Amino acid sequence: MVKQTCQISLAFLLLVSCLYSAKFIVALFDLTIPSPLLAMLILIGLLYFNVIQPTRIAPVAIPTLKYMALFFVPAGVGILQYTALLAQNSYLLLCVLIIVPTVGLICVGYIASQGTHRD
Amino acid sequence: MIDYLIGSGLTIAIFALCRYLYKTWRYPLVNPVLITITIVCILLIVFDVDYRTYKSATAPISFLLEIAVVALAYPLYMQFKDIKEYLMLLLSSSFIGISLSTLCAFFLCWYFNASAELSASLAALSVTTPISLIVTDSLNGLSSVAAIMVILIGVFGSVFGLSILSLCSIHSYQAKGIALGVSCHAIGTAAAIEHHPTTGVFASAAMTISALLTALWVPILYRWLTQVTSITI
Repeated sequence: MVKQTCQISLAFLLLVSCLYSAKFIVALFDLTIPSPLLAMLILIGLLYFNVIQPTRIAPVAIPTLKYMALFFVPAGVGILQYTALLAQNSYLLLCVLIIVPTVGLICVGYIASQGTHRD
Repeated sequence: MIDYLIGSGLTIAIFALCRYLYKTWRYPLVNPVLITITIVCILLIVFDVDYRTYKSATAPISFLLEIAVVALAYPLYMQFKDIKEYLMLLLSSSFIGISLSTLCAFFLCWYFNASAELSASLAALSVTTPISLIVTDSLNGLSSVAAIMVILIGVFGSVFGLSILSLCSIHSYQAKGIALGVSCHAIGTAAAIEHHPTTGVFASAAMTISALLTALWVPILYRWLTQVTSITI
């Protein structure tokens, strides 16, 4: 139990350290790249060059990604503020909802199928 | 502190219940996020709670969103061996896919004469929600609108994605995975995992790569499009 708590704390500390290092770099150099994304790139680099073992971050990374969907509920609830805007643009939103993924699926599927073998 | 416990605790409890129902029924329209958002919205209206109060009460949950983006490095690193051979294909497919999605959404907004704010909210839809929220914020869009649209696009892809690909005679497991991962992000990836393990691995890798490319490329593309069409953001 104590060992597991230490592993989770260390994993969380590593992820938070990457995030705040990225925030610091973004603020220092006035970059336009989002801090969490830079943090992700930093972490990929650290994993790739074996500075951090993947098992060190797994205790937090795996459950965080498993329940990631929960984290965007608060942002989604903000839709309450824009009900009038949505009603006003319902045709546009319906078109975007159907056309954007359909075009994406067909084009990406076609391009990718040229580079992969048929199963 | 009590606000955090009520706001965050209630959201987690509703989400857990919705997730249980989703696991029982396994139907994409019973998407746990979509249903949780709907239930929380109804509760806020019924109990006359201001969104800002709810937002501050769920700050711990929102903080974990940033941690989740950082954690995306883990699956990308773990899948690197499986996808190494297809890395260029994944990169080029993702790049073309996200560019086309942004172009489609932008020109639809242009055609429908949408406000700059709404147009910015629909610029990064074919990507996992945390990245979409970050990109939307950076373009001064409405993150809530982006969040809902991203989820609905994922549900659309999950329900119709494989049928659309079959109709277009796309049968390769890898290609189906890449298409679902790039166009329909995490919810499409879930459908890909259920379809075939290879499709799942490629969908997951394509989703992560397109998330990375979206955050770097979509703000540049969108700003360029607004300059070309003289729409200010």
